[in-house]
Amino acid sequence: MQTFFTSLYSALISIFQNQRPADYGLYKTDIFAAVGWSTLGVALLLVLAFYYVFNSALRTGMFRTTHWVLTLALAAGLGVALAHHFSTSHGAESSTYLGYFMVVNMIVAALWFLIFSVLLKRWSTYARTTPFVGPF
Amino acid sequence: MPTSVSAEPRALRFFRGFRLAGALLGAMALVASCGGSETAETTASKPAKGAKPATPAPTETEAAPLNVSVFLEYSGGMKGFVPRGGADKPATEFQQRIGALITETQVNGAVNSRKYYLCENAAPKAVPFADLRNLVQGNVSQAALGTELPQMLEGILARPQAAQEVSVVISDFIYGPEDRSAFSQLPNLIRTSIAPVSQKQLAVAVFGETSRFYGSYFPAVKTPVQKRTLNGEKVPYYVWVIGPPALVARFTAEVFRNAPAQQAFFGLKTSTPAFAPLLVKLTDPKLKPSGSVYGEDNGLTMKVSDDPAEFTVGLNLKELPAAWQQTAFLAQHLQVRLPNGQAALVPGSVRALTEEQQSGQPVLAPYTHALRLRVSKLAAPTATLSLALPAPETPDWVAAWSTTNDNTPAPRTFGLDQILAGVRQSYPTPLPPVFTVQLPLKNDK
Repeated sequence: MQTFFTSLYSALISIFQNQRPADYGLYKTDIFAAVGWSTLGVALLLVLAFYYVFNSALRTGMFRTTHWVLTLALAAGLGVALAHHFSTSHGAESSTYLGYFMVVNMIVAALWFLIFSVLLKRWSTYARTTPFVGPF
Repeated sequence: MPTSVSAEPRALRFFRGFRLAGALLGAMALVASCGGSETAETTASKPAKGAKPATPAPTETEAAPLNVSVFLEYSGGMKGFVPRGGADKPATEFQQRIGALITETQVNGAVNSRKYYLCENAAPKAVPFADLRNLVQGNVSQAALGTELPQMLEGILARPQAAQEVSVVISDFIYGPEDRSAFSQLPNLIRTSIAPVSQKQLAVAVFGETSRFYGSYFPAVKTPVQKRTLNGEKVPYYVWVIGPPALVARFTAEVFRNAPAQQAFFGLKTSTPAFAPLLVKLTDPKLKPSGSVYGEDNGLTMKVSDDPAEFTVGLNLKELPAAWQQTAFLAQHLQVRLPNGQAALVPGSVRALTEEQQSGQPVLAPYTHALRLRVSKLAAPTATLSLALPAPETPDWVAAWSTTNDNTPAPRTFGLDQILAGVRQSYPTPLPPVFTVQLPLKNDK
């Protein structure tokens, strides 16, 4: 899984910046995996909360696409925060690479949120068609 | 169901909006607490990770004890260097330099044990330190005839412990053989007399200085005069330091710190100096790496297909003779090799690290020098970059200090070039490098 996160983030960041920073070793051994796992977990938690807490266990009426988009935005924002937090706490120097990593993790967090939504929404009581109907 | 929402009263929808906000806040709190616990875990595991640096740790090899034997040739020809002093008579250069050298040898903590000898004739005679110091300050009772140069060196190196310790030979190195035909074989005679040097791979460091001379001077060339009486004219004397290469390097760097400017080294090798690429935790922009390069598995991984990678490496060269620690010397002589690639020393990048730089950037603390390397091509998936200091050949001052006729005293020595040619021939061509350090490189695909 570490290899997966490393290649995922490396590939995505290389769209913005081809050069690797001097502390890339740190990203490779520690940061990518930590950020990858925590982002995945946060996206999953938000999806579970949206579909099963607020739209199954509770009847809050927050099943609209607007609500879903707001939660996705929250996931994306947390993606940025997690990337920054783990990088600095592992001792990475602030660099353009770290900046692009935060941007990339924002996208990745949103992506996980979308994927988990599509996979899990059909068992939700009130939000099974949010943000769209199907495919399951 | 969505259609039913529009039918609900406005007030209820407004209320639900609040609940959405509350739900989002709840989720945030959940994530924050989750993130918090992970943070705690990270900090807990941090010391272990901090202990494992991305770059190879500097290796310090255990040093052999530095045992020193000092030999002073004590013949009539040397007496003029050590005139009896007095308040009105300044000490000669010889007295200052050699007095300081034997004192440093006596008191320096780097020296494990020290012995002192006089070379009067065949076998060196052990004397206590006080006697030697007396002699250097000019309390000379009698001087022997002296022994011929090859015999003296042979006697010194024939001692069984000569291959394990540093022998310091102080002499004028004037070779005046009984048998005049020996002149033609001078390099070979020297080479034979120092045979243990090539057999046991010892190093020889030669230091030369001129000193005022008072008294009888015996030239090697005996015509037109056998001897002259000098009154303060300057003639050369030499200090040879012979021993295992790493010990000679240590003695030169740590004990004979105040050495004269004329130096020649043969077969000198230091123990592998502490060496590492320095990529992170640097504040000086001139030291920071550029291009795509990072530390991994005790080496560097780099991508040089677009732009060359440039990075700083630290070296601890405290064992090198002072002259070789000069940045200009290092910039000129250091050699970078990278099979299956292209690497070079960045011109003007060799710098001696100051204490200020080291305290500002603790990552520099284990090193005396920093320099930058540029890798512009790397063809193979892995390669080994090597940085070596090839041993310089016999320096130019040797020729300038040599003469074929020393009957008129001058700051030159009879056949010095030939004597040192004999030393040089004890080593292979080219001379083995003083040190080599290696850095594994990986190609970043």
